[in-house]
Amino acid sequence: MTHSTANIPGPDELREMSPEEAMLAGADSGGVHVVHRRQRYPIPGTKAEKRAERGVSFMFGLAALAGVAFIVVFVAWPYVYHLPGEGSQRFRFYTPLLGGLLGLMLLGLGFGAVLWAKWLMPEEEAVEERDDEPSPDEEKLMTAATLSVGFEDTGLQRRRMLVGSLALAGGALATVPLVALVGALIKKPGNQLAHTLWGQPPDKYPNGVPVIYSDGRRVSPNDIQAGGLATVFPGVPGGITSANTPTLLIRLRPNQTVKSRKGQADFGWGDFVAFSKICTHAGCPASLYEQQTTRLLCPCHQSQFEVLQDAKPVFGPATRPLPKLPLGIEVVDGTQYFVGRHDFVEPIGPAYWERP
Amino acid sequence: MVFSRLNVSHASHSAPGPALVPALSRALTLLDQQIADLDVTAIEYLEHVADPKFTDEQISQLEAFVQAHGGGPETPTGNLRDTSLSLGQGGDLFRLNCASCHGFSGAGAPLSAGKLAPTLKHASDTQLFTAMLTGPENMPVFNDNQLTPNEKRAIIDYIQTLKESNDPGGSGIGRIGPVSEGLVIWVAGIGAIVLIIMWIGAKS
Amino acid sequence: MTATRERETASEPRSRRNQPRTLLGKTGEWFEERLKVARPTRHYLNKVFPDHWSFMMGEIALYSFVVLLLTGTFLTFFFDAAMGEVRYNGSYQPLQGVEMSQAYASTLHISFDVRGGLVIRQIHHWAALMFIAAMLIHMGRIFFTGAFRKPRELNWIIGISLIVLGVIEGFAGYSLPDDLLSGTGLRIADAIMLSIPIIGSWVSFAVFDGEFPGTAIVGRLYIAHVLLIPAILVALITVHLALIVRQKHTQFPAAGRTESSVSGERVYPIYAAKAGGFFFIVFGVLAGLGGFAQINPIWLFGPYNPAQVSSGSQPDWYMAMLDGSTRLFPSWEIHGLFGRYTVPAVFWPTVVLPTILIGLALAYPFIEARLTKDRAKHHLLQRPRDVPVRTSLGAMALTFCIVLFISGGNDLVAAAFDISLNAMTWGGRVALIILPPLAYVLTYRICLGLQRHDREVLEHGVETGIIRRLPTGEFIEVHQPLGPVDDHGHGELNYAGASVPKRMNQLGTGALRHARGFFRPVVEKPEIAEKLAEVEESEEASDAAERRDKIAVELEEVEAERRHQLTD
Repeated sequence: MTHSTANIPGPDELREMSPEEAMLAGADSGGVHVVHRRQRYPIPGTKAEKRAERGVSFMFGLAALAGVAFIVVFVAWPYVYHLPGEGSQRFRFYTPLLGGLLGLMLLGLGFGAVLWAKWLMPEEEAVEERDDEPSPDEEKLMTAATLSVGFEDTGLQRRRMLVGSLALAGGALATVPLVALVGALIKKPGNQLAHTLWGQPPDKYPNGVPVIYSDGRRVSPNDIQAGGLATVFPGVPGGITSANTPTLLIRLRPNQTVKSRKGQADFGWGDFVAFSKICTHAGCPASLYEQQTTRLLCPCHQSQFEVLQDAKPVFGPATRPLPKLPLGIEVVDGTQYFVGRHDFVEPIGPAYWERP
Repeated sequence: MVFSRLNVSHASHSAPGPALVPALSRALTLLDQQIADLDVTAIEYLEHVADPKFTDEQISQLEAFVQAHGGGPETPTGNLRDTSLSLGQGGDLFRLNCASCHGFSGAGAPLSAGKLAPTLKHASDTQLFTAMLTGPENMPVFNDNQLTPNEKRAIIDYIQTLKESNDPGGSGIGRIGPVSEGLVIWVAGIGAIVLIIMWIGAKS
Repeated sequence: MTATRERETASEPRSRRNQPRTLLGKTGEWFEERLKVARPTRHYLNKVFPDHWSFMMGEIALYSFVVLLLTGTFLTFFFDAAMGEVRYNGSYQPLQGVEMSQAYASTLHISFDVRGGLVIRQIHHWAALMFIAAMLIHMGRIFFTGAFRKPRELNWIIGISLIVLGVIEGFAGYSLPDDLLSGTGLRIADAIMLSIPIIGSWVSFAVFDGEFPGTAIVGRLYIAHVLLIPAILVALITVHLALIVRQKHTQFPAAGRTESSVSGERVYPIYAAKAGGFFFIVFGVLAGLGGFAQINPIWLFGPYNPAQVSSGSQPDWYMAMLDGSTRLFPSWEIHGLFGRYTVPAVFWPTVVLPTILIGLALAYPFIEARLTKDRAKHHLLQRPRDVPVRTSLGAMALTFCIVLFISGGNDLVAAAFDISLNAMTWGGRVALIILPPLAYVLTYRICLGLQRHDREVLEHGVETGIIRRLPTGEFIEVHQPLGPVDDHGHGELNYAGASVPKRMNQLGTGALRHARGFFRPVVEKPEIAEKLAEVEESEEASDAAERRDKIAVELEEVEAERRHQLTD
């Protein structure tokens, strides 16, 4: 360090000095110069000083009291949740009391410490040398020489074969841990993204995949009124919990006609149409259905789909229509129930690079 | 917010006679129009409440008229929170069918192009039930076959209980989630602390 | 002396006179004999830190981080990062019997059935919001005062990395409870991963261990959130602080402050008391928030179900920018690239835009150094008005970000102010293009105006508000000059980058020692009051002399500094 070390007093001199002088000498020796130092209460015991001390002590005392109160509340206050009318509602003060008392304790400590520095500790201003000059030339030269000779010692400059083989080994070192640690995470997507559980082998479900509500009941056309919609799922194992299968079954009014997309004209049944609930933008359920304007609004980024145009996106960031589920009917014991005839003909939800 | 207690919709009543049908249809269309015309754009944050165009008595009279001429779903009576389903099941149904428009705590939300799904804060049990049954304005219609009366009552039980229940974590700050939390941290949190550091750094 | 004693005489004989007698001394001696700590201890205890209030904003972030570590550790004792389905059986009745993941159930357990669990959980979440907010205002201070210039570019890069990591950490954290709101956010994150060209579906399948949502994601986020990212954060914060200790803090130019020294307070005891006190104050504010303001009430959201969503679904505030960019970006998608590939619309606002913004932020010190051709080391800060281009660029970036933040919550803004949702989207798109350049121009003009005003006050003095009527009948306002004036009465002080006093009470004129006492003045006993008056008089006399000398020296230094800066 290139501080002004010229005037470091010796140990005997230091022992002769007052502690304050020794402190200042110590600071100077490290390049820190106290340029202003003043006791706030040069005459000890004045009312002003006592007042300041009382103030700081009050803060710490408050902190202590708040701490005790915190412990009492923590242990003794009722905290169990009850519905209104079924038990004490005092739990609603438990968290606020704990937070408030803890806050009071911490603020007491904090303000106490800051006020201690501001009101009681001496006023002081110190200046520290930055010691910012670059290293002296001799240091730089010696370090440069150390580095270069060390590099020469390795012989890498001349030994080509060594460098080549080291590079290969280094490449292996860079990639092998990655492969070993991360490799098992890699899973081939295959074409899983393009299929949902609505697509089942026809021999297993010859009449089509049953359409069910979230509680497992089959959906019948009479259930839903014109202007209504229901969230439905395929009645297969995992159908309700899968993230790809939620579907909106919508019953339009008789005077509302759907302008179908190519190849999907017969996907509806009667007044009914069914679309994948999963927004084709970023995957949120697009289920805000405005039955009079026949718009489906997705709450996440405000994409809007026009049901009468086969759920074509008409506003917002979505770019692709909601896939349409081909509906069919199966009659069981005289009652009509909906089935899904086959899977959506395009991948549902957000797009990806290799989307067919 | 208006939830009409009139529980007719176009497709659900049987036509009594040839002459009456067109008249009734016209009356119902007019009614629909009235309801659609109601102003639901008050200024209060999400608490868009407006007065119904018809008094309760008028609604009962209209209802009696339609019932006498073919009928349809009636205003429910009795305890509309009495359900065999648990609160948890009611909540599940609410989140599946209602939360996407009305929000997880019933705070309401905007729909496209200036429309609004209002807050449920002021809705009575009857209003909730009849709204589900009739699908006012742009709200979808939830038939009694689709959502059984038992299920509807479970949803009502859930929503009304939620409204009455206390927040365990202090002030609910609107129960609308991260947006109000972000406002609080910036205005109250950072605001308070910046004022404090200006005080700490001040020289007397 | 014995033989063993003789071996210890490396420096001087240890006679009884030199043995420490106090407890502190004995402790110090214990460490000294093992680690030779005498000089380094003094070196670090005497370090000087400038005490401007805007320098404490980084501390807010540091202390919030400590609070996060403390409260987070508590939470790890109770949280179950598994996604197996269970039926809830705790004390929150509205969810009893509902099927949910173990992660969600354990979070409900912490909130309702663990004593004090909810307050700790809420303090943890508020601290996370505070951490990132504090980092952003700290970054703003660093940017607008030019503290990122050489030699501190490395610290700037570390700082930006801390912000990015903090945001990712926060996202991972609030996704752990597997509730409906954060699960929706995870779904969107999946869509973002899918949108990456070529490798998108592979990234998504790797992260989620198959199709979304799978059963691995919460466990993986948990490890990232409690181990991996905190470890990196701790390491980066340590280096960040070490660099400040090594390079010493910057400071604003003022009398007595030069490029080669830093002035302020020594660490021990004054600065340590203030900084330590500030830690408790930050913690106290967070505790108050955690107690009084409910945050992330997951029991209202319900467990995650891919078929369900709530309106008004927003991520935590620091993600609102990305949410906004996603809502505003038009439906522009590339189909049929190379014949059959798709680049989804989500890719541009959620992957490309943040990469560009972070890249720009990281590169900014080097871009500015190259454009200004400034290769000098800087330890003195610049007032924002003195660098109007940078300040205006910053204002432009801030406007851009604010438009995106507001657009992230545009459905709630639409509902609150009765604006059409569609209009909010279009309004946001237009505002994003128009407002930033407007902000640039406006800020630039304001900076120039402020600069001119500084020089005007230096030349003509501070307005005193005293109106005087001259014998000729003319009214003038009396101005207080700030320094020596020339024959025409114009000040001769040059602007040197320091704050120029604009009001009389900033000059300290007529400042009597303020009377102490809140309701009544504190009146000392007469003999004490006399002694005090004497002490004050002598102090004032020596102060005045000191001041006169100081001012002379300072004026010289300031001029030298200015010449030094101009020639660099």
